[in-house]
Amino acid sequence: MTRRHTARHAARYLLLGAMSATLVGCGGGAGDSGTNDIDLGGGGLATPDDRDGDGIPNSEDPDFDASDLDGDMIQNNRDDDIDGDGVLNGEDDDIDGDGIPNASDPDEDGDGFDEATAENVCGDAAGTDAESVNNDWNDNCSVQRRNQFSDSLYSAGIQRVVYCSGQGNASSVDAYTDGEYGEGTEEAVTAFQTAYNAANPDFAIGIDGRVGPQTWAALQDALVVVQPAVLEGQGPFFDGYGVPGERCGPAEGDDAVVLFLNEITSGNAGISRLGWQLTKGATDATPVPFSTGSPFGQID
Amino acid sequence: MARGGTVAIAALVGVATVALVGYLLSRGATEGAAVRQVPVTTSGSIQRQADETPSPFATDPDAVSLDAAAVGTEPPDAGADLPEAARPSDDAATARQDPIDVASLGRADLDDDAFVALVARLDQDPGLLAAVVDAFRAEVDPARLARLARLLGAVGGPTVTALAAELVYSTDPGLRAVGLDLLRRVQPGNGEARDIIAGLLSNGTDRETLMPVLQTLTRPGVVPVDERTRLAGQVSLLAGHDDPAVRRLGLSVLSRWSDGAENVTLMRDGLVDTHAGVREAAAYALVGRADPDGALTAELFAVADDADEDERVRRAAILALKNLPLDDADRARRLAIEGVLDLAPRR
Repeated sequence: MTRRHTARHAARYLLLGAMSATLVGCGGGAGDSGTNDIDLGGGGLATPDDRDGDGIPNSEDPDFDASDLDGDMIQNNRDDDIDGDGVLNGEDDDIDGDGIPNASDPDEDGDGFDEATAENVCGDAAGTDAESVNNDWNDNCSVQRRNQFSDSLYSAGIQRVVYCSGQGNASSVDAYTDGEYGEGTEEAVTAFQTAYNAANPDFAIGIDGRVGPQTWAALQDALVVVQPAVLEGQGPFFDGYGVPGERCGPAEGDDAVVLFLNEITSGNAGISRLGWQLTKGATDATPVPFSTGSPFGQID
Repeated sequence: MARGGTVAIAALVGVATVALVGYLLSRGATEGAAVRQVPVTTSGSIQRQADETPSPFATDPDAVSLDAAAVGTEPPDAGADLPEAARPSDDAATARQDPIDVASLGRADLDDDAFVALVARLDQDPGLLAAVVDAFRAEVDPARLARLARLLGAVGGPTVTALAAELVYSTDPGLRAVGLDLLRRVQPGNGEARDIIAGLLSNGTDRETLMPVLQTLTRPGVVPVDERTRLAGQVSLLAGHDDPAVRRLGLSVLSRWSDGAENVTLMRDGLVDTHAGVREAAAYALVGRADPDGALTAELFAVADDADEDERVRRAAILALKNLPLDDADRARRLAIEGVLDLAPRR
């Protein structure tokens, strides 16, 4: 991870912290229940219909329902303030929303970066992926909406596989791959997981819209070597992988689309595999970091 | 099982029966006949409603889609002619917003921003939400059903949970699957949904029933400790199920609901299961678990270093080993095993 990226992410979380402070300051936290609300509007008279006393007797109320924990007017399970302490940030006891508010949370210390856990096997305070230098994707960092990798090259790789596997809608794989793991990508991952289970009924994985170890492994299972490395001259050498099908080209030949690169070396012990990179695009095989190097960059 | 749990399950079965009857009545109604709504109270219990007032919503199960004019959800004049459920609420802020044509919802994918905005709108407007629920009930096009399910699942809350409660007890496998999908989406942080799931787990015995129910638990969400323990206890019973697919998914779910050393014995037992899928799930479940006496490390190495073992099981065991504090010799051993596995391309 570069310092630039570190600074960018630090700024992101500082902004979140500032937003949290603002919301807490105006009473948007979960600690207030609708019935016990006070005159948060300042000077007005709180009534059952106008609980914040701002003269708008309804859902414009900044604290109109305790189920809207983060005060964003969306009362559902996606609230930022999962532990309901009114602080919408890394101080949350259960920031990953897995229902276990404890040390297994990705951001246990609230520094904005996910620590290594069972569900997030490679995270650390710097947000790097130092362990993911082997051939497996199952040790890649877990990716989901709103976590530290939700706008990253990890997300880009995920999008490539799910799109080429038939999920999500766009005019092309490059058009689909923006690296932002939002609502649409989460749904496409959910569809991918569902389809994987249909094809592998005895090896079903959890359908949760998140990319953890087992989903990473399932994504990697979709890859096929479409352009084997030619071990001539000086390296580096790359096996080119794609996800052949209707959307992303045939399994071989000139029309095969290379989306991932697996770097290899050849020595006395045979072939060694050094990790994975993305191609810059479906028609540009320039290597871009994926599970090696910084995953926080952008695809373009 | 404690007597209280038995009583609760019995009550749930009774409630489910009422819901099923209500749903079948509504689903089987002929054109123009009444739709029996099955409301849910704030405590989550389902009640049969005596009101037999004819619904303006489509009830023909063969209907391909909702037509705005037919269902009267198109609001030409701020909802004056709309059915009660579809009228905009009295909320002043909602009234100022542009009307939404319910018949157009779910016809195409939305971008992330539009989706979030629509969820927010539905959160604020119970009448609009009710209209979308009715559209969902009448829809038979799988693509639109899926989009509406995604939308309703993001909204969550009692109305959507009630809809899921109806559908999961349907005798129609397709409707039941839709209901379970909804239940999966609303379950995180939703105690009513978890109560329903607990009942389904208690009643299910076969793979076709249990697998989709287990999938509703893949995101635990915010759960009180006692409830988490109770549900984990139910899931742990499936570790001895005859079907390896159930054992596998059960272990995967159990790992998400178990904190620290909880249920680790079951997970370790899974490492020597007769089915590779179960062994793989067990290895993944053990990622991040402590190994106070070194026994777990030895068991994981036995799997990872077994040349006859399925490759995906070995790779899962390696991942678990990566998360244990290995000494230099064990770390070198782990890397050597990885090196052997990496000699060949993935396929």
